[in-house]
Amino acid sequence: MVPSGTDETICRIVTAYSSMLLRLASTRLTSTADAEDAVQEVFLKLLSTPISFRDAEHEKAWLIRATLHRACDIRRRTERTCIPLEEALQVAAPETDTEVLSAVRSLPEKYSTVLHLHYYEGYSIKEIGTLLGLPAATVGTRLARGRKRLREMLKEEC
Amino acid sequence: MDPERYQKAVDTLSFSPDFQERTIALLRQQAQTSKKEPLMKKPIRKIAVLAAAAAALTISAYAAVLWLSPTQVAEHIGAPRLAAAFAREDAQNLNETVQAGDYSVTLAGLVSGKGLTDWEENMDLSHTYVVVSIQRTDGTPLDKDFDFTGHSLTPLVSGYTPWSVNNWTLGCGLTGFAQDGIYYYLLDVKNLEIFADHTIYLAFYEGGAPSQEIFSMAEDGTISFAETYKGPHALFTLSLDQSLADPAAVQDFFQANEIDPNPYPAEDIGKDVGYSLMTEGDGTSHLDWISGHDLSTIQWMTVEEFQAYMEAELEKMKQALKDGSLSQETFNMEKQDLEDTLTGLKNGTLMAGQIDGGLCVVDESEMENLSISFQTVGGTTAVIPEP
Repeated sequence: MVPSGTDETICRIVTAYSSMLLRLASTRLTSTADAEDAVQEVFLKLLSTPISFRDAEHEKAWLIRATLHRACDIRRRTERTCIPLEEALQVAAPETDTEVLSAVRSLPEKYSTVLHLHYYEGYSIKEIGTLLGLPAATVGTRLARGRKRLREMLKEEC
Repeated sequence: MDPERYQKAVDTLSFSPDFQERTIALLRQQAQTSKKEPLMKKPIRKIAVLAAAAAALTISAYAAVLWLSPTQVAEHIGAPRLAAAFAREDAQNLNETVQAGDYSVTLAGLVSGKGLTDWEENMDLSHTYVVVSIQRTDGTPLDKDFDFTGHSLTPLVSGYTPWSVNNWTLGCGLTGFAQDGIYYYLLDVKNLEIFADHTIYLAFYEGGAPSQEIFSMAEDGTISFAETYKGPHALFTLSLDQSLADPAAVQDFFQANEIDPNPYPAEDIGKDVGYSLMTEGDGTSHLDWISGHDLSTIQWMTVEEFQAYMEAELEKMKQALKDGSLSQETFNMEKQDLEDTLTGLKNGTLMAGQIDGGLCVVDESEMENLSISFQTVGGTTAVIPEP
């Protein structure tokens, strides 16, 4: 499981994790291009970081956390950048921006991540705890609170 | 939340069809560039341990052992700046050896500080690097097939449970390689110095994430291996500059990761509970279950208890708002959460309790979604954890 620059490793990691990480990054980022940048940067970081993984789960957990950190960095950077309103509307063009996804994106990261991993990727509370390095009970609490906030937001929009 | 609706929304996301191809090409290019850039490796010099020194060891079967120093280990993995740091006067060359089952584990050296490698983008972040070597006591060489993934090397901090502060929660990096029958580990830990006013341990053992089966913590916070743990293990104490301790940063670490470092009272540690019981009757109740390696406890609160909890939390949040560690937006959201919970408790639609040091609010109708089910066994109610 030691990451290296071999063709085999590169192909395996990109093929196995790209789709999942792109979706995850998109829970923080409106622009799919930004999500692609975030995931590419994470793969590059993995290639240049001397880290060894205990097993496939450890590798996946590292990638998930790194993607979330990078996506949040990009989001903060984007939010700080003042751009003209018209341009902003183009950037946020609702190509994929359905109501429920927008609502998840607007939640604090701690809620959106567990909601996405649970409801889209199908991970159990215990598995999410392992992936994010959190006690299962904390994941359960975040899931309950995230759902509640989501319900309120969607109700308000109706 | 309607999962199907959410899944459909996510499935409409349209990423570049050639993303994987582009990314693979980019990574290949990067890998090639890295190969072309020499790492300024110095020739690795092997140091023979003197026969007299070997004879002095209580562990037999070390005839002619060739060791790599921490500096050489760093050079081997292509970290020249770190290699130079291990050669500095303030680096600790320790060479402490402990026998762990069939292995001899040596804590070779430690160096701590900022900007010790090129790996970290944030040069203001402090890292601690530790070199550990493993060899078999019977002299059989360890090679690249050593079960690296079947063993753990992790820092632990006294006073905080091993399952709250460890390799996983601290986000450590670990790399290893075999040479001349010895397996070398280089452990990279971010921000370990902030715990320097506690005893910091380095544990090596067979197994995965720290759990009650592997470790126990005494009431004074001292950590040791559980008496029942029979796998090979070694526990070292690391020495870091105590003046670098930063209790506020430690609190930030726990808060940011939503980890309670003391998730349950010391007397509960090691308690043999397969599932636990909620005893009902006098208005108070306890709810315990084991989930993975965690034993979690909910103490359900009465309205009055929650009000007291809420006031205390609001005070803390106001202080955090004042000192800038909490944004107004988060303050408002958290305050609203607390007020909603109080309303729910009053009208009986919610149950609230403290769990892992945090607040757990459960809508009774959502119990099923939390993957916790109730089952009556012999007049008491058992809480069955998620399978």
